[in-house]
Amino acid sequence: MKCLAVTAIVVAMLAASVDASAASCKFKQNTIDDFTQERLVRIDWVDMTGWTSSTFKRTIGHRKDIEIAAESVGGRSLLKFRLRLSDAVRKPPRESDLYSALYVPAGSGLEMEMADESIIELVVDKEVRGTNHAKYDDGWFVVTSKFVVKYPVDDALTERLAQEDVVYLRVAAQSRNYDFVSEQGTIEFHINEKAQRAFKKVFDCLQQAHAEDHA
Amino acid sequence: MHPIVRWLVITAVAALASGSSWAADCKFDTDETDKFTKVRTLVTQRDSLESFWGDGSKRKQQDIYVSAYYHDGEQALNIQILFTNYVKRMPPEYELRNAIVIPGNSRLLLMMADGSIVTLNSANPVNANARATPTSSRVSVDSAASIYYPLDDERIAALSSQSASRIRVEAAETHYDFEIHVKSQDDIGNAIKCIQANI
Repeated sequence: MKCLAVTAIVVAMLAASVDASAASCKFKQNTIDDFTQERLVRIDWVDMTGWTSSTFKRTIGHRKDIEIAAESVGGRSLLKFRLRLSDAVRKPPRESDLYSALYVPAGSGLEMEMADESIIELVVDKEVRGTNHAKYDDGWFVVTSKFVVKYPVDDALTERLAQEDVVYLRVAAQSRNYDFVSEQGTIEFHINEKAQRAFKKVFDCLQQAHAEDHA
Repeated sequence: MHPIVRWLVITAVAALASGSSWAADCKFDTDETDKFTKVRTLVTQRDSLESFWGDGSKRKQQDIYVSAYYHDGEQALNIQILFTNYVKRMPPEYELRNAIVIPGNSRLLLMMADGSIVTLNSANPVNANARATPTSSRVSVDSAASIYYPLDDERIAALSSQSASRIRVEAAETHYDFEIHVKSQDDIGNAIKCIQANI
């Protein structure tokens, strides 16, 4: 009986914590800028792939991690993705190889395929070059690239992304020498249920912050 | 005289003396007249506006220095910003390029004691690379930039009439915010007054 009661309490606590995490928003920043009097909102990074960094380091080559966040300055919102890619090669990379390993030119697109099969297209706000490193590991040079891409989103899209599921992402980018980008010039991600929850939560929080502003 | 009363008198005299003697305390890094052109250049000694101890962060440090500048009838505020980052690996050369980019006519915003904002605009574009130095355990990545903001009579009056509490240096696609340490909040006004008193 005692065991059942403890189990019931644990289950209730778990259920409560799930509810709370769905409702609570983790703002990295939610303040008014003293200089401009604009509201600054930064929503912290949420993992969309579920790979821990130790797993990433152990896995040689061809890993793709993606995290999502958002920020808003005076109501102008940005969707942010932090990507980390890896490839393994036999040839030691030169600095010029690393320089051109990952590049997202200004004006590059993002395609988001929604659950209803519609496509949302966004354009990156500025050019991005990856922070690229190579590390020798048991006969292989593991080249990793980390970078953040930002896409402006309007209020209508913020509302839509807080409610609807994204199922597939295509981030347009360029890569030389390494297998970071597909032949179509994109880095592609299937968005699973966990990632869909992350996506919706980020935009739900952004909406909450905007609502605070209008209240 | 009672020791406490004596201490209060000494403190009050010291405070009055320090408040009234800024003009006498003016220190200049440069005070010279060109022998050919007879043009005078005055630059006050630079003052750090941040706490000596910084913010205690070991991964990232920043500092800001200010001096007032006079040359051939023109006055300007010179702001020097310095950043130090600590990273695990030596960054490749291309990552050190353009660490600080401040386009010409970029704004410097100063929040004054009464909450008003004084805005200055930079004279020239500034583009600074970072420098990486390996230490025993990590790599220190340092970047620094020196920016000149011309001053007109209106700005001189606004900056020398009250203290400043915060500074924002606007740069390309970003800005750098600095909290001015309470002991340094009069430094900008005093530097300008030093130039005014000596030209």
